[in-house]
Amino acid sequence: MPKGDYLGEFEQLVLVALLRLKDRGYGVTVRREIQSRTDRQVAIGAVYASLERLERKGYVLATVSEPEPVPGGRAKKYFRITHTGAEALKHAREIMRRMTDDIAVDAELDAI
Amino acid sequence: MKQSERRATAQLPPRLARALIAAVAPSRDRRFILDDLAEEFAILLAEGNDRRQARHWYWRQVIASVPSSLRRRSAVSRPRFRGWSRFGLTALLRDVHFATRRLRSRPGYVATVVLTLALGLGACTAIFGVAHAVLLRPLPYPLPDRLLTVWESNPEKGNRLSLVSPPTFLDVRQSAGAFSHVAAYGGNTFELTGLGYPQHVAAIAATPGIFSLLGVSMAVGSGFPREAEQPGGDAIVVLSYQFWRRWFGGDSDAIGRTLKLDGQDFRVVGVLPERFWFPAAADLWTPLAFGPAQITEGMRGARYLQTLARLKPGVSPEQARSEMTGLADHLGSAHPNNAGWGFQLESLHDHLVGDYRRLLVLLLGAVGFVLCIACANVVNLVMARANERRGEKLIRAALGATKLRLLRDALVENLLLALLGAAVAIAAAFWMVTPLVRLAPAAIPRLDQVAIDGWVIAFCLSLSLAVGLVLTLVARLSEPRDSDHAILRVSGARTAGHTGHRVRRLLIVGEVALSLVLLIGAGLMLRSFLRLHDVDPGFRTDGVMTASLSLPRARYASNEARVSFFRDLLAQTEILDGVVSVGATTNLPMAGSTMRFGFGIDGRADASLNERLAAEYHAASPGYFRTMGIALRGRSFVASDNSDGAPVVIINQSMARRFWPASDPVGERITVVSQDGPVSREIVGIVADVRHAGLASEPRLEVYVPLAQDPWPFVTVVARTVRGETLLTGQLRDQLLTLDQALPLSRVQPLERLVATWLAPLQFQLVLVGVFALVALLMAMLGMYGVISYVVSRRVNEIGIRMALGARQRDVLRNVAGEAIGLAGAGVVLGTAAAAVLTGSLASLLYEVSPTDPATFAAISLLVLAVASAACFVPAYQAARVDPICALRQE
Repeated sequence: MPKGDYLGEFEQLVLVALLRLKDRGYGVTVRREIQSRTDRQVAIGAVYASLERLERKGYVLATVSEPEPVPGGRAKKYFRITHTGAEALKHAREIMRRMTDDIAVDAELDAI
Repeated sequence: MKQSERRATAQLPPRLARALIAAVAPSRDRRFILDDLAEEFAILLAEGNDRRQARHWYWRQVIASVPSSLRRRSAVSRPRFRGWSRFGLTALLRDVHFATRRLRSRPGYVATVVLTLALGLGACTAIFGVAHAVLLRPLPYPLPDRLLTVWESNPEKGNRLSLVSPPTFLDVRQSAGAFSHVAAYGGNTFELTGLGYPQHVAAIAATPGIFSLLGVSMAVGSGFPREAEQPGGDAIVVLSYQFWRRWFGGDSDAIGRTLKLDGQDFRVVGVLPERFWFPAAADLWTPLAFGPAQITEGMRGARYLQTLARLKPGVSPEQARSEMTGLADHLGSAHPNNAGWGFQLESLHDHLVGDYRRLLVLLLGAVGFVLCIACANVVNLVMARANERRGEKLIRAALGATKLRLLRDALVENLLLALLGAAVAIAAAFWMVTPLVRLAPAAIPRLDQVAIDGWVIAFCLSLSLAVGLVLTLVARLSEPRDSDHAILRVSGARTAGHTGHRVRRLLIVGEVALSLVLLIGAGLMLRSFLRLHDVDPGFRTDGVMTASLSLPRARYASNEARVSFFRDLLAQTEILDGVVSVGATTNLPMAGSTMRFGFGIDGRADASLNERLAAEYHAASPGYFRTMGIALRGRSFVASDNSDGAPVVIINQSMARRFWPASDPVGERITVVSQDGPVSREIVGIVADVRHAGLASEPRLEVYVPLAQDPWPFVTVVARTVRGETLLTGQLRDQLLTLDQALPLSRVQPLERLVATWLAPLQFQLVLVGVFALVALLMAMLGMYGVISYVVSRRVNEIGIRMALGARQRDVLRNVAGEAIGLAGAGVVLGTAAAAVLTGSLASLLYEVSPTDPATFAAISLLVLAVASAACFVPAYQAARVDPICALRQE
């Protein structure tokens, strides 16, 4: 893993959301997933910005669906985690795990 | 299909917010983002939120998405401009941005440079605007370069370009294979009655083929039919568009109506297009046909037709010329009146532009000089600025900026300044062009079409780009070559920059030389103008009003009718309030009309045998010489010099001097030809020479006969008055109406204006060249002042050391001023040499002044040296007051 390719926090959130959503991950679902779980306002523009960055790094793969077969039906851009994406997320979690390995994080933090 | 049901019932999201996010979102995701927002908006409404809440949510989403979208957009959009960036556009925009930022911190510098350049560019643009309309723009006809003017030519008799006689014109048209069309025309004036006041209307009588020769088709109706070639056909007329609008309101019913011209009915057959342009302005066109009376052998000597020809496709003017030479040989051997005459062909465009080409080239040269001086001043400023930024440049170079990169920065900055200058110049040219055209002599063709159009703007912009390029290169070449360790000396910048001094000195020499050339040109013109002003025209202009009128031949057919009309008119004018004296003549001086007839001296066979004599011919009333203030020896005409009296004549001094150098011609007799044939007349008086053809023309041989003995149907009335001119104009008109209800008075003007009109072109070139020369001098001196000040500021240390070592103020003053005056002197020498070469081209514009007039050269050189000394005195004085302690402490 090259230096400087650490995943940002929001990127990690997007990746985990995609993980949870399996093959239903697109703009609306990702945004709502993060918003409902983190309880913070998430802008759709930020979601797409993050997804684009991940896509450029090769961590997610975008596919555009056929328009829904109804009047006014829309096409959606679905995102899926790639193998490298999974590796990167694993790596990020691993790093956090290593950093926190032999301490009782919560207890330490409470003590501050 | 739960979702689609929701969609159908959903209210639409706020339109403005939607437009905003659509505008900022990167194009690749725009559709998905909009759809996602719409979907969630619908979900919110379906979940029971009210519309206000949903809209609120939508707005918050959009606003929160703007920053990230914009960031992405700039990142994403770059590939879209890959094509552009290959041409360096993105980089260029960045450079421009950078240069703007740098310049913004130097408003004084920018203003000085931009205004200096705008002055030079503006003058160039305005003069180019005139030159473009007059010289460069093609004539408004199809294939205008195929149009030629045809002239008869007899250089041996001093007639290089003569009009063409009707029989010769017909020969040319019939036998010239080089031309597809040949047409002749002549000016004419009709008296128009039946539409408002009686009035004179300028007309052209032209052979019917003229419109197809020019390639013009009628706006309404048709041109002349072919039958109009034959004499005795219908009287028909073609109207100018403007005449048609004015008198027929642009109504196409005008075709077929009749106009009463000189009392005869003319049927309107066509109307010319609005934008039709012809060298001779006219409102009416009538067909010109030649009857048997016009194609006699004798008429071959009557050369009065303007002739145009259009070359056949593929025929060169040279081929046409050689064909015409053949025709001239043939005609010369067949007809005595054609013997010795050839043909001259001149392109219509060249013929129209004529002498004004020289004037405009001269003015373009003058503004070119002004621009050069402006550039020299700006180069000085640019160099000073480069020097000021030298430290920054060295640091950038040390950090890895290439030479090209630094040059590019300077180039972009200078181009930006030049373009700004061009913008100001174009705005100024728009504003300057109207007064310029008003000042210009009206005789310049197509002056009404002068405009700052796309071509002129393009000229100004390209010129400004060239200027920017030259500025950068000159400033760069004059920069010192920095070694790699120069950066170590940046802090001691005071000692740096001496290498540029040589260029600065050269610039001063150049500026002084250029402004000297311009000033000498202006000085020569001024001298010539003053000389002309001092020329005695032979008459007194002050307080004389003139008015022309012409009698229709139909109503004033007999000599008696005209004589009695003129007698009544003059008698009644003389008793008008404020009139001191009145007179009348057929040809007023400087009004452009002349008559020339042959004469012989009675009892002197030698004079009439050896050469055919001809003199300018005038018919004048008794009061004419007194009214005009023309000096007279002998007696003037009197009332009894009429058809019953003995034929008399008055000659001018030139004639008296030439034929009676030792004796008094009064009492001698000469035979003068006129409309009624030769008449032997007794010389009763001698008048002063009058410069009829203009102040610069040499006096010619002239004869005056009494108007009552040779009444022509046209005269100009002159009245010496003590009253205002407008009052007199009204009185004259009233007077005329009591004599003849249907007679128009034309060209009512003071005599002074005739002289002023004649001087106008000279005044125009004098004023323009003078203004440019003064601007040049001012700019050169400002440049000199700037450079000397700059050099002094760089030499403060050195001067301080000199003073510390014992130099006195006087020595420093002499040192600094001496250098400056030496430079100015070099400029004067160079400028004098250049002027001596260049003023040769002025020779034809000068009157009785040599193009290398030593007095002018000396006076202007001294003037320039004096002004240069004044310009360098202030900085020299400042240098002399340098305090050595302060100067050395700065080290």
